[in-house]
Amino acid sequence: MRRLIACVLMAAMLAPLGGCWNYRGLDEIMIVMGSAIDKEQGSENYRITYEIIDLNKPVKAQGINTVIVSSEGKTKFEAARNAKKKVSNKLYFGHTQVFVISEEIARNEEIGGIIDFLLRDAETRETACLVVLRGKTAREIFETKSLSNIAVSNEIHDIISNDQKITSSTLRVPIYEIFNTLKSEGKALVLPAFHRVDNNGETVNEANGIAVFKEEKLAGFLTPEETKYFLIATNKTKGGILPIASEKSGHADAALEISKNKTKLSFTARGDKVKVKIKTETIVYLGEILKDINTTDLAKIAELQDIAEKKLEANIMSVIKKTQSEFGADIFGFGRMIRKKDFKLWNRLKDNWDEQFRSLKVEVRSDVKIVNTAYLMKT
Amino acid sequence: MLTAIVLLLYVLVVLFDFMPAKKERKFAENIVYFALLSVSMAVLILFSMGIELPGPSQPIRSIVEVFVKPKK
Amino acid sequence: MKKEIISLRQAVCVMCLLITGSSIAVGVQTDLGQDSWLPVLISSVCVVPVLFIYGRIMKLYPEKDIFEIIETLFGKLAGKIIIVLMTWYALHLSANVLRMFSEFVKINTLTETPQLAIMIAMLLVVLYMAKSGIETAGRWAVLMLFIIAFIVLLTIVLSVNKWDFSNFLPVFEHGPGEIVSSSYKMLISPLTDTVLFLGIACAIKKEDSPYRLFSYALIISVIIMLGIVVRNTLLLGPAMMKATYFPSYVSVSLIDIGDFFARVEGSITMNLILGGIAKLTVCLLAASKGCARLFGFRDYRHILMPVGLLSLALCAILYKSIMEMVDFEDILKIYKIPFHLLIPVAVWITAEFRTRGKNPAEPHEASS
Repeated sequence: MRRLIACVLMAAMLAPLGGCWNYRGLDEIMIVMGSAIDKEQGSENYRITYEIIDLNKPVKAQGINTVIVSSEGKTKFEAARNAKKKVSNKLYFGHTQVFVISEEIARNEEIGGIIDFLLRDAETRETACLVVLRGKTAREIFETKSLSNIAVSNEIHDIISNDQKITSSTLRVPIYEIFNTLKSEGKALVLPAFHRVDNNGETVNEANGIAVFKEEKLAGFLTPEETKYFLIATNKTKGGILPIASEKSGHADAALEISKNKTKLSFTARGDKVKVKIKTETIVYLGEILKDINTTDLAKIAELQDIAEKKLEANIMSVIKKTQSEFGADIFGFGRMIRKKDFKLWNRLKDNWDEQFRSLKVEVRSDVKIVNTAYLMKT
Repeated sequence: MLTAIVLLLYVLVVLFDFMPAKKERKFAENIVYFALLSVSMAVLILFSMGIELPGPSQPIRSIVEVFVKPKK
Repeated sequence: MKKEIISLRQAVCVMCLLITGSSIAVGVQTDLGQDSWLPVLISSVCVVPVLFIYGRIMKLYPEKDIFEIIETLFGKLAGKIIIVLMTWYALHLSANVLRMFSEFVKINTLTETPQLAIMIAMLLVVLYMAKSGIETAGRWAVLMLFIIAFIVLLTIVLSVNKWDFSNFLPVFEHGPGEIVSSSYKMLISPLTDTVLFLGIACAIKKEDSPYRLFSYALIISVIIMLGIVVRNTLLLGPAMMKATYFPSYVSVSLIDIGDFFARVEGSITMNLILGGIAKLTVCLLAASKGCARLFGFRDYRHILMPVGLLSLALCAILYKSIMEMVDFEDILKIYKIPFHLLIPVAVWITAEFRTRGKNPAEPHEASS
């Protein structure tokens, strides 16, 4: 008899225990894959555009379908809620991977405000990332069908996630890292940048280097090429191609594929004068070369290595110089390195570090090793 | 809604906890039992209805601040 | 009334859960950012004399809980006053812990559920366990400690691709003053929350050494807490650690293996429930034992339910918001001194004199 009661009780408990107070079924939420934040023209309102997964259409037949919705509000949170005026359910941000901001917002507003909104909300993932879209508005990013037939946000996320291994032209910065960078001293923020280009008559989104921020506001951009050297200098690259010219003059006719790169940053300080040393060790494969070459000729290989090293050093230096003169923002994190290794010195330098950064002496030493030449021995 | 749950909770407690062992306890124990139960029930019902009640935090704060001047 | 006994192993596990119950999910909250590991070590060393005192009390009066000891030592009147104080404290602490856990659940997972519902749900489970007695709690603790330690280890290992050792630099950025005050904060809570264990010390056999009990528990808890602090520092970095209410939860949410194994922070919530239940059980058991002795009940179980509900009521009115709770922590660290230090020391000294007076031949170590 008791067992019967126990069984009945257990069965009865299944119902309430399975749910919760504010249970929401999948058909009651609108899953947002990505959102774009803009400032409305002529007013102070925010206009946020969402890419929402449409669960109603069959996925197998037509691929993922997304619906673009936009809403307005005085603050970002308000705009997110106002979307309910257009859609049947409240938006769900638990899967949102990408947040796109327009150049205008990045230039005029402090990024910290956006990050605060995103982090404070429990639903948003801390591992979501932020992207800057060059151009007039951020919502244009959703105005194309993605090339790989997935949601545009997923595509953007995938483009920047795997980029460091393949092209090293941009990087992915999750929100919690942005927060850490903003709050810690000695490093300026960089975010991936996208622009829209023409592809067979259609305009698509393309990764386009990185956006440089100074004191939480956009200061400028680095081209994909420059970003590659930036990534090498900060030890963030995992792949990519280094084009070099195999003759002293002439245009690039050989391509070295980066297999591994290790960069060591160090500094020496005499009094309050700091000199930073960057030492890169890169292992590459010779992937492509125009001129006839006998790759078993070790002298020739050594010559190519030499050319590559000098080119790498020159390019890294030029990126550093450009950053110093144009932006004056320490995106390389030299300040942070000083702070971590020599706290007292940092305390003396931190007040006008940006000024110091502009005139900082940096020395670059590159070491390139060509370890194989892929399939062909001679051409 | 919440108040209903609170009431239900107390009914269940009396049913399942008090009743089975009623005979074992002394009369004095029963009085104490119900006294404590009524205090907590009163507080919880008021709370579930949204009425704000003073918490012990303020008095404790005042007592502690006598000994240790506020640090912040 | 059947005498309840738990083995040394069970007692060690219960005490570990008592100490680490809140840290698992909330994380070890200090203001030291990357230096947070330091106060963990320092406070665990400094707590040893205090734990020795607790152990000594248990040794002098084996198989008795602290309320019985107080009544024996201080007589009816003074004893009752002190028992009132300790019982109040047990009640207050259980309300505090329950509040913290329900805030955690409310902020991270069930944002729209009324807090009272969350509190009731947790409390019912705890009451059921407490009603089942200390032995059940002991058996629960053994299993749960293992699971919790395993999950902490798992989260450390799974997050290895996000580790950043430079997050520990610059070391010693914070001056000795800050380090000392953080160590003290950690000492007073949660390390000396173990004083509540004295409330159920009647369950420890005479043959089991209380010193062993406290030392094993201390070592295991410190290892677990260090693991948590190190993991949080490696993953989050100082800025994020200071900014969130619950660093452990945020750091686990970063775990991302091959795109499919992400958002495992549910495991933290689970850890919390498992560990928190043990801590609350001990608090409530202590509180009801105190009440029972106060009112002359024979069995604490008779008054367990009302005490539990009283703690629930207290929990509801304790703070108006989580900000008030965090703000109150400064007061808490002073407020706990009488209960964690003053009363136990008074009990200990009185106990030493009494036992010396009664049995001068009884062999014991030289006391102060």
